[in-house]
Amino acid sequence: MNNQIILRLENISFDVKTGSSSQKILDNISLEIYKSEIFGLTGESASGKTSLGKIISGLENQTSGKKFFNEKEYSGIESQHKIQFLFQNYVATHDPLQKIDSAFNEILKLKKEPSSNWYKLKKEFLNVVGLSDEVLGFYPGQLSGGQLQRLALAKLLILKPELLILDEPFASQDVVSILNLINLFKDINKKLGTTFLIISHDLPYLLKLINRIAFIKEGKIVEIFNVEAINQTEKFIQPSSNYAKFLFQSFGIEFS
Amino acid sequence: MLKDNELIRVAKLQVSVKRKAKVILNDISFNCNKSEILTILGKNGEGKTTLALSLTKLLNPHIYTIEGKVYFKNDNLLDLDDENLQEIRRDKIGYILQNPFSAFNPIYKLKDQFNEISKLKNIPFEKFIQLMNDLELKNYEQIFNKYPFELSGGTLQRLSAVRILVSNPELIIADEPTSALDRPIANQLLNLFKKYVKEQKGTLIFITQDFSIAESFSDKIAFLSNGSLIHFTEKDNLFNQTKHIEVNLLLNSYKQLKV
Repeated sequence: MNNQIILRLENISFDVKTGSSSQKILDNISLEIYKSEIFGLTGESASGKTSLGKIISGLENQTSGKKFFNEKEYSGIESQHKIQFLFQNYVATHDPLQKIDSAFNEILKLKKEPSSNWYKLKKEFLNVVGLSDEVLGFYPGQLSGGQLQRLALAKLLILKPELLILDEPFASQDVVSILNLINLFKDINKKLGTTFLIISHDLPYLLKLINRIAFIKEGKIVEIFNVEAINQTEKFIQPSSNYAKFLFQSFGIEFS
Repeated sequence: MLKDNELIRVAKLQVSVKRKAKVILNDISFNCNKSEILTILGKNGEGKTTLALSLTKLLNPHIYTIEGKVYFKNDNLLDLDDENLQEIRRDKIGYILQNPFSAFNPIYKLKDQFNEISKLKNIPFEKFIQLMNDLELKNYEQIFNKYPFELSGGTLQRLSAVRILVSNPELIIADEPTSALDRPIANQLLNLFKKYVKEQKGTLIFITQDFSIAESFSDKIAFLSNGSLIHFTEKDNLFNQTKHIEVNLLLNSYKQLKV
């Protein structure tokens, strides 16, 4: 991890209008994410986690405030595909009637890769996520849930994003898959230098993976916690906000 | 049939799909004592929900065949006729279903559905409100005036737990009741379950794939794998090595994920 800033948010607010009233989802959020770090975002349901992820990816636009990617202001979907978003419902990102090979071809065509490279790239990125190139001949329905998640990840990685946003990647997975995913994300981060923003309410899993973690409550960031604060005994230095303490304690995590 | 302190005993339960002659649950045997929490742990698609539903014959009889014995209070539930089974499902065994959207009638307001339970079981309305308070559902008037589809999965999941806990059945079967809840609120629900077991002498069969929840509050833990219950353990011996490679793999992964 170096100290080059890849993403900077300045006073981002986000309102949703429901009928005549409007509801504040995000309130004045400022945040910096460094290049090649793994950054976590946690908080309870309806705290605004996913909304923030969508705003960063450009799927939504903020009501007020500014966002910068590599120090360049942007709005809407970042035109060079440098920011990618993996949805919590990754199964729905696959077309059930399209062979996996052809889905990849569509992406590569969009990316304007010369077709002579296609097979090599497909094989390379399937390998990164731990799938064999045999799956190219399959339809999505022939793969398991875990494989579909890895496949969705491969489809994003082949676009060579600099920032990858994952929404609740550990939801409804068993412990073996979660451990594999954590190792996979670390591996991709190391091999490809991809910056990760991981949105999850599973605080213990995030702590195994991330460098820094932001706690968000009712649309506000209440604390950014440094995980390098762990000492040798694997106990955590006490976070400073009551909310972060409360979440740590709810998972039975003790402080030194 | 049942020993004094036993509440439910399942013997050689087998569930299969009729048309394909495919066995989903194979040779399941276990027992659960009164005032005890038995947790059934298993990955997705191993048959956890099918097991929960088969205990009181809630599976569609046109699709599934259920064989074996489920002894509950001197009856074999699988031998009972519909009328007697209904009575048991209404008064003795409460279900908290995995999908909270299917637990409520979509065309009635929550108010009317809770009123019906209140009348049928003679439970004062304050008891609902008190339990909702315990689960951080403080704006009950607003909630009661809504239809199920207007509420979030987390709220409905809590309401379906409230609905069962108020009537204090002898056995509660809870199928992933915390899957849509944040951990702080999940902890509060677990506390209510503990209270139900300790103070009301209730019994709980708790189905989950969350190891840390299983570890934090069960008395006994059983592992369901590929349609069979392969390993039983007391909570305190959870991390002892077993002869099942699969269970060891799960436990080792969980150990590495613990903070």
